[in-house]
Amino acid sequence: MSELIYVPASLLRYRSVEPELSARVIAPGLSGAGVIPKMSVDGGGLWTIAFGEIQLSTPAHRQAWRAINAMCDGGVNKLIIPFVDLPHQPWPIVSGKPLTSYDTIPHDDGSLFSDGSGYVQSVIDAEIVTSAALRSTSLRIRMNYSGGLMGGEHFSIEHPVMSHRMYRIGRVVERDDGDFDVVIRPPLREAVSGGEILDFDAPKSIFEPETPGGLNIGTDIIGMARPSPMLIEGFTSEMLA
Amino acid sequence: MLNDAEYAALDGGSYRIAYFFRLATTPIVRLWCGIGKIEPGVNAIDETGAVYVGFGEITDIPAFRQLINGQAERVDFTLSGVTPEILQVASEADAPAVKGKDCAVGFALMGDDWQLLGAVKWIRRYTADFLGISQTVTENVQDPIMRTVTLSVGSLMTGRRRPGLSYFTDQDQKRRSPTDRFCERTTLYTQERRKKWPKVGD
Repeated sequence: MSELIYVPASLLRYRSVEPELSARVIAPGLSGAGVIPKMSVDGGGLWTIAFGEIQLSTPAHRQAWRAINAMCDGGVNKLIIPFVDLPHQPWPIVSGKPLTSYDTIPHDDGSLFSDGSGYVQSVIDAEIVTSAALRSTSLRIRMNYSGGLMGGEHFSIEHPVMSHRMYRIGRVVERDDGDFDVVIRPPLREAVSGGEILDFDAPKSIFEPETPGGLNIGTDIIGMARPSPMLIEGFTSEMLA
Repeated sequence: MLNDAEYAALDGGSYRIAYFFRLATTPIVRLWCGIGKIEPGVNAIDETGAVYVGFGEITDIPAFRQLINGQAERVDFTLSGVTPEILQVASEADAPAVKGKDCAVGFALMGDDWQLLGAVKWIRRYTADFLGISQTVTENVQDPIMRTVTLSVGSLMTGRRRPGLSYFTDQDQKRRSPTDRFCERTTLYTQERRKKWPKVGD
């Protein structure tokens, strides 16, 4: 039994980020005609995400990071990492600007919580239209409130067993009824049914540090820590049972 | 054996191949070389279909030959990305449970959209022999320790050349036939004693 730990998006103020699907391709070498035939054996790839210089500038940030590092137990417990990608997600355009978040949302009588905070709600509203089987790579999705899809966006689905899994849109075809047929990578980790929510605001996936000490930070003399962790997609034993 | 779509995929120059590994213990171990789960459907061994788990990875599918002129071979499958559960199976009392079990290796071709183009083709069937664990030794504290599990398998003919790792002890006999008490008292025998037989008369 292992625990899943949410990493808050506000902690991940990175200087660079690179989420990529790792591919294991076996190349047998150059043929006489100069062609390199390739053989892929990974069945669709595994997410890796490389953060560069996450800015942990306040003691609260560093303590939160240390606490997560402690609870992660060197990768035994997996992390739920949100990948907030402001420039590239299909935000709805409101008065000429992309709307990336709502202000604090109060209770229905207009009051906030006692500490002055309100509710949080995701902006982009998207769902799956038709169900798809395990390892499908094409989905029909409906964007209820969003900007246009171009390809290259990420979204995640919270599966019942596999938990949050991130997917990347590779090809988009808009249908006459306004829905989108998209081709995604990697293949679906679990079957989905119509009406399931797509998370475009902060796509999440389960990750673990590449090495047991991968989340360690060193704090410099002026009180800054800039870890650059490398994370790979993880599965708990319950997910693979 | 291959259908038209599979021949077309092989013509393309780039291949997407999924390896499958099946070990008929209880419960049956079903692994494949990719990520996540896959349902390859009905095939020659799984008559009703089953889920294969992308189990870390089978690091090395060993090269194997067909049995020609009775020359037997033995191959080792090495598995990395081993979870604690599998380590427990490999290291404790369950390790002998693999002995003599059917072990099959197969492959299937995938199309451009990562969908299987046909059923799994089982190309080799072995008899499992024993499990071993290997762990790298490191002198640097920072280096991660890597463990791999190795399953040694052979064909029916392999056993003639190399005896299996089993003895006439009660435990081994009970594993072969659970109710057999034949070797129950072998522990009572004393070793290092030579029995004196009566001399044959001159």
